This record gives sequence, C-alpha cells and structure tokens, in this order.
Amino acid sequence: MEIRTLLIDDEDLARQEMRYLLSAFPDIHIVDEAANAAQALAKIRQHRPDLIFLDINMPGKSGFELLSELEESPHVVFVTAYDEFAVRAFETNALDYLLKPVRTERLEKAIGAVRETLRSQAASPTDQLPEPPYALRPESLVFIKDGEKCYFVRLSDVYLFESEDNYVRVYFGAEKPLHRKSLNALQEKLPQELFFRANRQQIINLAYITNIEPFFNGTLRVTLRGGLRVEISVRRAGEFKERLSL
Amino acid sequence: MSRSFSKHQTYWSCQIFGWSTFLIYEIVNLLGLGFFSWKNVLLMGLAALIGMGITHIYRSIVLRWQIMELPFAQMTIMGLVAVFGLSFVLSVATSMLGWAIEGTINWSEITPNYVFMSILNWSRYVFVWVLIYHLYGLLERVNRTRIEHLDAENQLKNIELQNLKAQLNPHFLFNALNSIKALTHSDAKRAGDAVMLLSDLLRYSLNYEKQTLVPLADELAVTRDYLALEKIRFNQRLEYTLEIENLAEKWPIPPILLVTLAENAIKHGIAQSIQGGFVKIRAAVENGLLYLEVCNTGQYLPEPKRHGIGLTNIRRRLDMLFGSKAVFELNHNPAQNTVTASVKIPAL
Repeated sequence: MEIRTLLIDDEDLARQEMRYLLSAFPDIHIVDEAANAAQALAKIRQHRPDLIFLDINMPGKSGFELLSELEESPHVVFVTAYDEFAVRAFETNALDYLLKPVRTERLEKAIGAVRETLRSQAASPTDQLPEPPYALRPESLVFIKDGEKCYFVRLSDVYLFESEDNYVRVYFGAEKPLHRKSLNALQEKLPQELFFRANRQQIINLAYITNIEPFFNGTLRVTLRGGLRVEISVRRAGEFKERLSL
Repeated sequence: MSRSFSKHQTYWSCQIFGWSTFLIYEIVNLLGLGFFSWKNVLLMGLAALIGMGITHIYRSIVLRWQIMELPFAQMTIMGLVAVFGLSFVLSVATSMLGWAIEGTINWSEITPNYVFMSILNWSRYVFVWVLIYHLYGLLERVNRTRIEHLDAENQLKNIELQNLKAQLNPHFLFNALNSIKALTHSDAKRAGDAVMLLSDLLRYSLNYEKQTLVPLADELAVTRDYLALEKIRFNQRLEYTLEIENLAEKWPIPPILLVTLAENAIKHGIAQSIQGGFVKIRAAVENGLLYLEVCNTGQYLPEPKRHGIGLTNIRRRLDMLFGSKAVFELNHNPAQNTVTASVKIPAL
C-alpha cells in the first residue's frame, strides 16, 4: 500500500535529508514539501496525505499550532533537533517522534507503526463512504492540545463530547481534555452514523450505549460503557428512537 | 519571622535573668554586710527595673543608629561611652530614688568621691550587660557575613555552571549536524568544510572559560564560523555582514560574548521569520571605548519568563569585569524592523 507523505520543515537541507532517508522505503510516496505552517496547512488540505513528517520548531506557527488548526490530523511523525518539546507534550499518549539527525533504524520503526495503523484502518468498511470536504470519519484522528498536554484521538474512541463554555470536553479512555472548538461546529463534521446530539450540551457515541431507560417527562436516560449517564431531551428522543430502530 | 521572634524572646529572658541575678546578689550582699532592710530590698528592686529600662533604651539607640554595624574599634568606644553614660544615669536615678524613699536629702553625702564611687559601683553591672550585648551582636555579625560570603560564592558557582551550560545550544548543534549529514550525500566538500567550522566552534566553546578576556579578533573568528554554519542551515534566509575597524581587532572582550549575541540574533531574528533577514555586526573604537553592535531584522518581544540565560549572563559578566563602565543594551527600531544589541567596553 502506498503511503502518501508530506514533508514539513523550514530548513531546505533537513527536507533534503528526509527525502534521502525515505528513498529507502518504496511504499513512502512523497507528494509534496512545505517550509512553514501556512504552506503546510494549504498542502495538507490539497493533498490529504496519510502521513506527515513535522518539524516542531518553525518560523511563524509551530508544528503544534499547525495541528490545532486541522479538523482531522494525518498520521504524524514529529522530527525535532532537541527532545525537550516532544517529550513534554506527549506524556500521555506518545505518537512517534524522531530526533535529528535521524537514525535509519528509528525511521524504520516509526514507518512500521504507521503501516500497521493504516492497514487496520483500510480493513474497516467505513472507508468507502463518500465524504464531503473535511468531514470526519470514525477512524479520523483528531489532534487536541489542552494546555501543555497533546493528544491524538481516533473519533471512534470518543464516547462523549460535552460543551464547556465555548469549548468542548472530549471524553475517551480515562482522559477528558478540552478541545478548542465549539460543539455546534464539531457536530457538523462528525460522522452522523456514529454520533448523536443527545441534548444541548452533549453528543454521544452510539456504539458506547449499554442501556436505555425512560426518564422524566418523556426524556430518556442512556448509560454509556463505563457507567456515565446521559439524558436525551424530549426534542431529541423521537429521532433517537428512530435511529436505534434501524 | 519566627527567627526574629525567638531573638526577641532571648533578649527579654536575658534581661530578666540578668537583673534578677543582680537583685539576688545585692540582697545576699546586704545580708552579709548586715544592712538588710525591706526598704533596701525595695530600693534594689526598683533599681533593677530602672536598669532594665535604661539598658532597653540603650538597645533601641543601638538598633536605630546601627551601632553593631560600625567597625570594631568604633563599636568598642561606643560601648565604653555607653557604660559610663548608663552608669551615670543609673546612679543619679537610684540616688534620687533613695532620697525619695528616705524622704530627706542628705546634702553632706554628695561629695565627688561619693559620686565617683556610685558610678563605679553601677558600671560593674552595666559593663557586664554591655559586654554581653555587644559580643552577641558581634557574633551575629560574623555569622551573617559568613553566610553572605557563602551565598556569594554559591552565586558565582551558579554563574559558572550556567556559562558551562550556555556553551552549546543543543538545538543549534543538532540542527547543524543534521545539515552536515544532508550535505554528505549532495556536496561532500561542503560537508567537510562544515565539519571543520563546527569543530573550531566546539573547541573554542569548550576552552573559552579558561580566559577572562580575549582579543576581539579571536571572538570574531569563531563568530564567523558560527554564522557560516547557520548560513548552511538557513541558506537564502540568512544574510550577514561584518564591519570591523582595524583598531578594534585587538580590543580585549569577555569570551563568547559576541557569539552569544550572534546566536541570539539568529534565534530571535532569523529562525522566527519565514522570509528570514540579515545580521549585521559592527565594531569600532571611539573615546577609549569599544562599540560593539549586533543588529538583526525582527522584533524585540521581551517575555519575562523566557528572558534568555545568554543575555543575563552577558550583563553579569560585564558587571563583574568592568562595573558600571561597561554598558549593554537592546534596542528595537520598529520603523526599520530591527533589533540592535549594543555593548560598550572600556579598555582595561
């Protein structure tokens, strides 16, 4: 399988070196290069690559700021000259990062991991769905930066989105970081077959429902895996029943 | 806070203990001499209270005028004057107290000899009080200077350590190595040249702290190496020029100063900008001062938390070497979008 790859680094020689190293991997197909975050943003939207090699320290916006602006993140391998940043940002769920100068063995390992996840993704049937521009799929990765901590989360792993002021708290696993997007903006992008707007504050993942019971005044109460309880408002209850009866 | 409170407590315990001892001693004395009477005991008790009050006033004078901070000889003289003065006041006060208790004044008693003996009598006690008080103050002073000395030493060590850390900016180092690695495939000769530049720079940065001052020419050589390496990395994003007056070449400057300024210019001026910019280094001698200027495109955005170790170190080192005669400042010119670091260094 071909892995469509974008190189992002502000130094010509650094990109040249990366190109040289990647030439040893026949399945890595470099679609383009970008020298800063603004260029990268445009090129990611244009090419929709599977994988990006991303320098953290760039003029203008940093690599993290670039990721925060994307609706959906490609697979990311960070490349940095000095480990300080990467180590600090990824205490919780480390994605891969490489230190410059890059060792071929480390690169091989990183690409191996990317191959693995891409393969498991390709096997899932949802892949063939027609997609409007930038719509998210269940297997889409979303980058979340909450303060100093960074997360990459697969949408299908999220069981609850909850609005908090102007942001959204994203519940997955044992984590619940704050995402700097509004719940309404997010709802438009979310795959409708998986996520349901339960009430004004919450969007739930239908795959995580373990129990449904009638509640007060025509509302419903669902229990999610892990025991979290969410109320379906009267206005939404009708559509909810319809969705589940399918 | 708790320490000064306990000091306060110590002071009052000593006062009470000291003057009680005085009282007991006097009573035993009176008993031994056969002069014991309750009137005398009352007189001595009141004398102890007056003594406590007067020495306490002396203490506040000592604290107000910071007599304990005076040089040793002056402090000693002050102490002796105090012994005489306090004894005098005490004898007058107790004599008057005695007359008040007796109800009459025995004028024939007041001979020069009586006055002298009375003062001498009191000065035995007052001398002990002043001696203990001053010794305690001295001991404290010695302790404090020792701690201050240790602190200063510690700070010096810290600066040295920071200098050591500041030797190599790891970000620069690994990026340079990465550039060199890239060049080994595309341009082996340039890669070789870059290795030489980097080794000269490394050698200098490992050895510089052995000297307190180096001729500007030496520092310029490594600064050129450094800029040439950054030029490889940033390519057309970096332009740099050096304008050095002949007279300036031999001027002694603290080592790594110019490299640090150049590094700062690249870090904040060039690396932050997508289009890049220029770095201009100028050195000239005027009125017995070396004027050193590093100018780069960019903005000066001071962030209190991130104020670099590099600049703080430059300030400290210039202070230690030249005091107020050396000047270091950063100026932002928004119209031209440049930041200039300028240093004035006097001849030694």
